[in-house]
Amino acid sequence: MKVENWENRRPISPWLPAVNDRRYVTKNPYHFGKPIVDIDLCNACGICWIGCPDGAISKFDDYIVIDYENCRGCGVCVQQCARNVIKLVQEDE
Amino acid sequence: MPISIKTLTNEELMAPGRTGCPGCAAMLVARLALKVLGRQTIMVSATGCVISNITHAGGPSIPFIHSLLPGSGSLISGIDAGLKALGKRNGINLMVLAGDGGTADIGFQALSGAVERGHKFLYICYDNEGYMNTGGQRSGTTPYGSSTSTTPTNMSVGKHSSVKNRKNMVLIMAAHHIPFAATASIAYPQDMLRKIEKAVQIEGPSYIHVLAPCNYRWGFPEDQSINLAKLAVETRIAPLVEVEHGRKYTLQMSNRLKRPVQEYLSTQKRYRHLSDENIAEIQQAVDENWEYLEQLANIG
Repeated sequence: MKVENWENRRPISPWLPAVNDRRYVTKNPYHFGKPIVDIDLCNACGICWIGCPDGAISKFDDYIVIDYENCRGCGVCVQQCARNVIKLVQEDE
Repeated sequence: MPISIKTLTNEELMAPGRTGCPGCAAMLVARLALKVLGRQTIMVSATGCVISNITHAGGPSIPFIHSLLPGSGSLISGIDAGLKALGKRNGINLMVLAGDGGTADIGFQALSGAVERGHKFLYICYDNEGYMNTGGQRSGTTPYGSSTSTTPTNMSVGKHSSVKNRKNMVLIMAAHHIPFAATASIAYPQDMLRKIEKAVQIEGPSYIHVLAPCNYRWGFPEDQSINLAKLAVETRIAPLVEVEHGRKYTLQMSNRLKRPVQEYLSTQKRYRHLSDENIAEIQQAVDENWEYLEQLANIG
């Protein structure tokens, strides 16, 4: 498995999973919800990106991408979004 | 060209995958600081919330040292002197990121000595107003009336209170006559990025104090971290001050409308035991502190 840009994501080892990585952790006790972006209404202003404590959001020219492997579901992006296009969806266990 | 949110890159030097609480403001401070400083940075962090965030996975992609709790100032001065002796000092940013315990209480003499000797580094303190990593004990920056595990409810107010005036770390650092000392807020990222950029370009020590709301110990929902930091600025509990060379004081947001401290206090569980008299006391203390800062700003 080739992991691109691994040193930014796993500085210790490319094969070491992050603690809340969903590929490896089936049930995350810290997980509150999953932020879902409405791509059509989002203008990629970057307020959620600058306020994300996990660094789980990437900002591009006209869209944002949320990395659900590292998101802890705190909901700061939902509160910060000026257009209210991010919704926190509760996942069933 | 001054730094702006639009020119920042997606590169996360504080790598994702941390192990701390959701909505941690301390990690947000670390993230924003490293976005400005870039890859050519050596980072020292005293024991605290940032260390427990990066212990098991994640962590900075840059040279990083976990220092002893009382020794982050000494360690950064050693790194500065060592790089100078090797002739490699140019182009490398040095940064310390420590909590309020590692800054105001335990690490205070090392920090004071390091800034007095005039080493060039940036010291960022994320102030969550207590030893939140080890169980929420009281620290030197815990405000009056705040319930912690060592000053529970009735111990935190009135005649039994051991907490009177919190340490004002920015004014203490300004009294060292360092080139740049400031407070910043995570709710105003543009202002914070500007201050960090200004601080690393200055020759000599610089100090930035950031209020980092801790949702777990303060008792508020984890999605309110940034909103609470904004409320702290608007109620003048955490004013934005900038001090250059210990003489020129700038008080930011002084033309904004003042909001009552009740709005800030009522959002947190740690203040829920306060009576109306206690809140009036806190309001008076906040107003006095603001007047004092205004006088300093008028002199400079």
